[in-house]
Amino acid sequence: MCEFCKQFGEKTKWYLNPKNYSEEVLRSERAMRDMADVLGFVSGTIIEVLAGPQRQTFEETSAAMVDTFLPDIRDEDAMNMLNTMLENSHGGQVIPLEDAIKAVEIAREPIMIQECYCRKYFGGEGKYACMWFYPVSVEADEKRPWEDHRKITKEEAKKLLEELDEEGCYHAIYWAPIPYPICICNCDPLFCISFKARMAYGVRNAVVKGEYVAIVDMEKCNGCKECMLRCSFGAIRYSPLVKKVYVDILRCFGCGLCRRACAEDAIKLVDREKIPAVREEF
Amino acid sequence: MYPPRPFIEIDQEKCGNPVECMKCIQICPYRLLGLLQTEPPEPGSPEGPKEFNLIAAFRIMCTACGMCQEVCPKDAIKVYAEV
Repeated sequence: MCEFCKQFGEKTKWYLNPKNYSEEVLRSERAMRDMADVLGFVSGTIIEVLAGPQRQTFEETSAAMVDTFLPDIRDEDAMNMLNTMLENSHGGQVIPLEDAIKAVEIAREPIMIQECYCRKYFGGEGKYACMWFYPVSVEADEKRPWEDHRKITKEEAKKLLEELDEEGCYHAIYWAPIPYPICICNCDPLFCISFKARMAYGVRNAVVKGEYVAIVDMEKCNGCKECMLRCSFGAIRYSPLVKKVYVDILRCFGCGLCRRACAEDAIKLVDREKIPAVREEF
Repeated sequence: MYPPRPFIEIDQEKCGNPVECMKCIQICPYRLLGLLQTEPPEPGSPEGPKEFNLIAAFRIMCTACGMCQEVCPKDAIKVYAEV
């Protein structure tokens, strides 16, 4: 269990605890803080920033400023400061499809999808891959009428998650701030801002590893390597001698995308909690 | 800096409005160059942002391959392998 589940999960995961979607959490002291005090370059609460025209400034400037905040990635103080900043603003955790569907079921409506900023502003094609919950889904209508977004039902949202899963986009649920779940993103590692902050700089709270890890049943694996193509995290290896794949659990983020590619049904997700080596690895 | 990172110097004046070109953004193998709105629009404005600056993010991943510099028709980008 990650520290957020321990702190805010009440025996389930933080993003599956209905209480965290409540008005009380949304209006908590942490959520009402002015981002000018936390980040400096944007103002208003994190919800106001994410719903309003400053959102792109917030995301892109954060991306451009990692180098300034973290000139030395070994600097623990700077890293802790960044992680705290993300807790108090906007970070996320990788989740498998089934958890994404459960989160959509308990999320506060309306649900809004919009074109992914990471893809759009780093030269990719516009793609409806970001799924926002209340209140961003309401406020964005008023604050950003010029933007490509629209409301969808929970059933449509679940269908879209399925489609994006099939395509190979891993799911992550983001808080604003912890523990209020504000959106589910379906990410492409080439473009995703938080993926790069995590993988290239090691900023943990940009995107925390999921509550699961994948395990391959070597008896069933036929060595087709299809699963490797679906792993954004480079966690699946192929053994040329045994002619089968296996998972490097230290790299696995537990997104579960590999399972879908397996014709032999040889990959399953297990609770991270049950594997001593990665129990505390987020 | 640790690890050391290349420095990408962008001349915003020469670049103009990168959204009309996008060549460097699309050629970067790691998608490290991006568009940043010069000024967020007023809340509720029917018009979205029109003007952007070119920014270099995640320099830690930059390999200083120089393709952005080469592809730029306006000579607005300089990549220095060493800071």
